[in-house]
Amino acid sequence: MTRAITSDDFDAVPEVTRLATGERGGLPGVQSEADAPPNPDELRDDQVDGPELSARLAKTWGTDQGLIGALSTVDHKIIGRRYIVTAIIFLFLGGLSAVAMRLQLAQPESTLIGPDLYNQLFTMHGTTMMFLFGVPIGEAFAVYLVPLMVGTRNIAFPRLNAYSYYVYLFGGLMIWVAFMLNIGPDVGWFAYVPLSGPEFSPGKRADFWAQMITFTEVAGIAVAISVITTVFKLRAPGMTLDRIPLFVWAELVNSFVIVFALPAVVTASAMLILDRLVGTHFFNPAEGGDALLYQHLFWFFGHPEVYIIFLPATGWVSAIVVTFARRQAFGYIPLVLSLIATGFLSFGLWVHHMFTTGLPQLGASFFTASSMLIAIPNGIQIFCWIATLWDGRPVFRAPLLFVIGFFFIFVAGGLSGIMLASVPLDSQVHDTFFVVAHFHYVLIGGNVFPLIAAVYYWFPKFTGRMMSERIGRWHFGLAFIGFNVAFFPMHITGLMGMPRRVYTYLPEMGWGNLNMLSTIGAAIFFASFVLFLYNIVSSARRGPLAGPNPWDAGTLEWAAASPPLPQNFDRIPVVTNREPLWAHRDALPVVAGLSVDNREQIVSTITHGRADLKESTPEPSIWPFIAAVATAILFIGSMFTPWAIVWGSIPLIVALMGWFWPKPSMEDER
Amino acid sequence: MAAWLARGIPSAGIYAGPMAWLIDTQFNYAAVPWVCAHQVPLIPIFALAMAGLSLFGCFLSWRGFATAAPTPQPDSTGAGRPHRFLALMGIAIAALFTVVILLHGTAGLVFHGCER
Repeated sequence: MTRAITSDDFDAVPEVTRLATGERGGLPGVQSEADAPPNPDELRDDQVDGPELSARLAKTWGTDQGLIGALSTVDHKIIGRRYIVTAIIFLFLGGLSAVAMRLQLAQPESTLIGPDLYNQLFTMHGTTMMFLFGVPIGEAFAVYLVPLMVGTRNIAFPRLNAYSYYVYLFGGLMIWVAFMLNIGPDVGWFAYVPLSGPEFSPGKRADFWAQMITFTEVAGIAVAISVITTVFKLRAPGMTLDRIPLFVWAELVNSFVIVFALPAVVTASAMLILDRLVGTHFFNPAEGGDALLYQHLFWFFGHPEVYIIFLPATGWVSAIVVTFARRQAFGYIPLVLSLIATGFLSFGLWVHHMFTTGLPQLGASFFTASSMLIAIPNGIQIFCWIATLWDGRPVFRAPLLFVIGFFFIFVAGGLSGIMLASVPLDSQVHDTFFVVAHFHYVLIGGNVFPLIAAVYYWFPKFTGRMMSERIGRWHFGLAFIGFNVAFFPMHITGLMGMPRRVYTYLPEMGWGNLNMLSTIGAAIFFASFVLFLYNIVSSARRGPLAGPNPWDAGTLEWAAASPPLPQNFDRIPVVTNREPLWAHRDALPVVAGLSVDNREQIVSTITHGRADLKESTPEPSIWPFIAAVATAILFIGSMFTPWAIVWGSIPLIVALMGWFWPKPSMEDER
Repeated sequence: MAAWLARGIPSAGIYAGPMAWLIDTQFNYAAVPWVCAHQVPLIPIFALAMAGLSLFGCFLSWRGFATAAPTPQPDSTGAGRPHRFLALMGIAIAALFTVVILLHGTAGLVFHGCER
């Protein structure tokens, strides 16, 4: 009698037992490479232990000293740290441009800033916050934390990850240098045609905007691919799909949204560059083009962009709420469901940014429906987080305070968003300060407050030191009050008719007092960031030592040292619970048998997270940096002559050949 | 096919619901000028068809959930059974997107397509 083999046969010998006893798993007669007997000549991590194992692994996975070593690193923690610091520097630069605008608008007929500089300021503010801070900051945290949280030693495609950072950095530097030279873009963060077209924006300003898009989108998609592969294939054994931490789910969904959304804006910006530099007429109605096509392409990216900014924040909030509520997440399944549903729905709302372009009302109504219904998954998330806190024993430390601030601010922004999904109301307040108030409540509430919470929460992991709790509480107070004083009055100035993107206004309009109030609030908000910066710098130098798990959290990154060693974990953990460190408080079960002298990682199956293969991961290399320099030369050169695409391709091809040139791995050499 | 109907596909709803909604959104948006010109209530009819597609995905996920093996046992957080997890996701996502599709269809009952 024969019996069909089913997937249950895989579990005939539970994986943890198998790993502990050395008993073989898998289908009878079909063994995975992970079950292959080890090479007796190669040092394995079950042959050494303790400090010697740590030191040997640190040498294998470490980064060389010196400038070349620093530029060649493929360590996800070093790249992630650079990403986080760079994105936060861009946050400060974007914030400073906002403060300058608020000072200008504090009084009617102010002459502090002229119209040309003001146009550049609001463009740089929006562009920086959306493209140089909003997208990269979520990915930056993913680069640092996802490999640690899924229990692996490095991110997938680590050289691609390193390349993406340099491309992002060069793109950001390019546009800010252009601004310093008074050739910064002045066409708004979405650079609508025909304003940004060749007829109304001669010179190079709009070109810098369009090419910066290319830089940041290349970088963003590269990181997203690395994150998706890491989550699907590099999870620790036992981390089934329903044991993946919520933070990792958020970053996974976010990466998919990035992969599908960003090509639309790259297409739009490439077509804009072609119109401007080559003489095509994609967006010129006089020659058969379509200006509205630009808006469709831009907003097909632009609305998911809001969720690209928000989704990582939901991951930060989930991690912080669970840790400080001292209980597992209430509604893990609805929370994951909300993330996936939000990711899909974000692609069906873009036309609500175009309600005043004369579209048929029936067509607009489909987007009204989706815009209103996306409140359902977002509402589910908020309820689950509140229920987690309600049923737990919350500890009100600085990270949780900022999360609670996020609840209030984001929900207020969501409510005005539901109002704006209505075509009649949107038509009335379109392009007024009401919209400015709405999206700052959503974006600062939905990203910046959770980000600050995340910095307070993971700072001990990044640096090994705790941030000051006392300064953190002052910081929260100033930020919450300053934000609301700055942005709540904008709802009213908007309803009074004050338009966006005007550098001044007449005293007779009656907007002066509310604008002064907003500027006072902005100054308080700015002061809170100064305090934040001081707390970061002083705590990094003199903060109390943190230890591996100062918050008594349950996810795997807290099993690593603070800051983590180059190898992350001396032995790869085995996951038997959603909160592995709470389930195994004394000793985490681990996998043994990986190489000590080679960069070897476990590749696991997507659904069950079973150890499937042992795979070498790339060594450090200078070629990703050289390829990024060649990419920057090509992109910047192409703004001045189309021939740069031809000549600039040669160094890029050389760099890519060096990068991908077949090299025997260390393991194969032995 | 019969095996699919009997044993289900746990993740079917995750794909079918959003896919049906995507097709519905694109079709409806493109069909507005035609609806205006011909005054045929195409939007609700198409929405019903797409809601049916979404619900079919929901059904396959439900079958996947109902026929899932009782092992392995869940851990203390209720996790460790990823097929059941995927099936629950499929059921819920397909149900949510069915609601969104039906709401799109309702718009076709309210507007004639020519309103600007």
